[in-house]
Amino acid sequence: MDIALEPIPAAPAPAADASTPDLPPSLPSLREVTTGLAGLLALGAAGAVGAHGLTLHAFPGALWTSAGALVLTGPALLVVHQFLGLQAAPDRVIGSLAHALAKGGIFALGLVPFQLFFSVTTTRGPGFLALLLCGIAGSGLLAATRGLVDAELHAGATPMQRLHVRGLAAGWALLTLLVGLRLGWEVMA
Amino acid sequence: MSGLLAVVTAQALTGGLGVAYLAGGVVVAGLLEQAGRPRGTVLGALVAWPLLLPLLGEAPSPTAPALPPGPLRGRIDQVLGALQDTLGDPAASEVPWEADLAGLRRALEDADSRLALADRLLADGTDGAEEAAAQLRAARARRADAVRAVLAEVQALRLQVGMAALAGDDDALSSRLQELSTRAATLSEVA
Amino acid sequence: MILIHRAAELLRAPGAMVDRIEADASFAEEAPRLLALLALGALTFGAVVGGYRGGLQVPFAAVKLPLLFLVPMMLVLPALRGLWSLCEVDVSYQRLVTAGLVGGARTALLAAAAGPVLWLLFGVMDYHLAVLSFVGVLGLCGLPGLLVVARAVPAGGRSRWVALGGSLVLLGLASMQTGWLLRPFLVRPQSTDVVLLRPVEEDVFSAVETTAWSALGVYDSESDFGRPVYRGTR
Repeated sequence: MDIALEPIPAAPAPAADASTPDLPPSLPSLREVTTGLAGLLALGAAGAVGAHGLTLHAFPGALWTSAGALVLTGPALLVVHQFLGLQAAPDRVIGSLAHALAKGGIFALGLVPFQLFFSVTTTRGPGFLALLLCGIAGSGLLAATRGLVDAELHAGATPMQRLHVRGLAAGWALLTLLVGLRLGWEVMA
Repeated sequence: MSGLLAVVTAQALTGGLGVAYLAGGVVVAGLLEQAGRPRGTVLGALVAWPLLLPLLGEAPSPTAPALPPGPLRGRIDQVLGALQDTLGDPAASEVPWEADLAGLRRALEDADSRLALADRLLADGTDGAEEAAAQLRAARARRADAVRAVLAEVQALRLQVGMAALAGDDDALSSRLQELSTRAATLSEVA
Repeated sequence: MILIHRAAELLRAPGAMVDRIEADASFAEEAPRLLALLALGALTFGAVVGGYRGGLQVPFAAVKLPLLFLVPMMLVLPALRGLWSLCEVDVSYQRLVTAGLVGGARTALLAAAAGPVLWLLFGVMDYHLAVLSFVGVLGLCGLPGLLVVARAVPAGGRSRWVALGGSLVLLGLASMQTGWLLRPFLVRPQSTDVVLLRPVEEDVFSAVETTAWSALGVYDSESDFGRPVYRGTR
């Protein structure tokens, strides 16, 4: 006698949250990323120009602290994200970071005239560079965490998963900020 | 590690930045000039070129080529300028007039530039084509009289603006302006 | 005549003017007119400010005031597009520049209109009050200009307030240092030393620190820990 076992119907996935904004493409274009990296490099160069003992290794400093922090903490984020069984696809997670880096770099490129002005007319160039990098980091991390949460909500997260992704995003942002500060300290020292 | 420009004073660096800024202005102004941008924009670029960088990436919008001024251009500018001032008065009519006035100006300037062409041809000499030259002179005179008649009616229209403001008769004013604009447009047709 | 029409438009409906310039694609034609209005208003206001001392200070201040309006704008506007984009608001650089020029011209014209009032006040004020009045008028007239830019940015963006705050901080810093570099604007009437620009020394932040210590009644002495420590009071 054959016993046909009916497959257990899978629980329907929760619907995607309609209140979250539409997601951008999963990864930014190569042009956006290149422009962003060039912007960080240019901002560092603007901070390195000037008199009064400014150091040459401030030149790649902006790129080193920003991109370096993301490179060091990104894999950890991806691992914990998958470990928690969250819904968003890995390329969306990476894409959130890449978008934040690209946009942060474009912001940095726009800040070059501002930084150059203060590097040339004051002795506080390094101080301004540090402040601007903190501002870029803050707004970039905010964008990245929003991207992570949006990706999860779009993938149809359960209430528990929403809690997890918000906690993960906040924790990762804090870690990245601390790592970035540590890298920045090594650059300025 | 020593600074990149440690021996340079802040004064010299600021001066250098200023020179570099002015050089940037000259370059951007040159590029805008080549792109056919208005003269005012080119001059503005010398001072505030970072604000005009978006213009470098876009093509200038196509505009009608400027018509060469004719013998009545000064009179046209004077009369239409006075009408524009009157219509632009806050107490004047609320009828939208910019488009009609622009059309009227274009038509009058077109007729005026055709008069200028006729004058140039007549000045070049007739070379035995006396009859044709006489016809051209007569047509030129009729066209110039027609333009002057339109300008006289435009001057009368200024007083009608005042009447409309007092009587509140914007419709009559609007139709009169459109009529003049249409009549001026026919000046370009072959008489 | 067209400048008068443009001045009326940017005083009455600046937001609509920004929209019109964008819709008509007439930035190339309108930008020099807005620059001209900004320069005229700032020149007039600068002449009034320089009139506190009179003489050469009148043209000196008149020439520098337009730069006080333009330089911070040119330093900060390139960064704003990136900042607002990070905060989920997409706005083009050209729209930002249009709004900046309309807002700047609006501020300049309002400041020029306040010129006669300031001139009357200068007649009864001492130097420090006159400086505070100058800064106060600039601040008051600057608010309508800043509002033009704030309203020109499209709605939306969950981090909008971050971008707004960041924009104000950047503009404030740039304006402070620009004003410091272009000083003096207001000169004491009895001063015989009238110069176009003072030498580039220190920066506005050092000056503010010194003034703050002076306000506490502590004046200069040598430094400890590599930092000036002010000992003694007047």
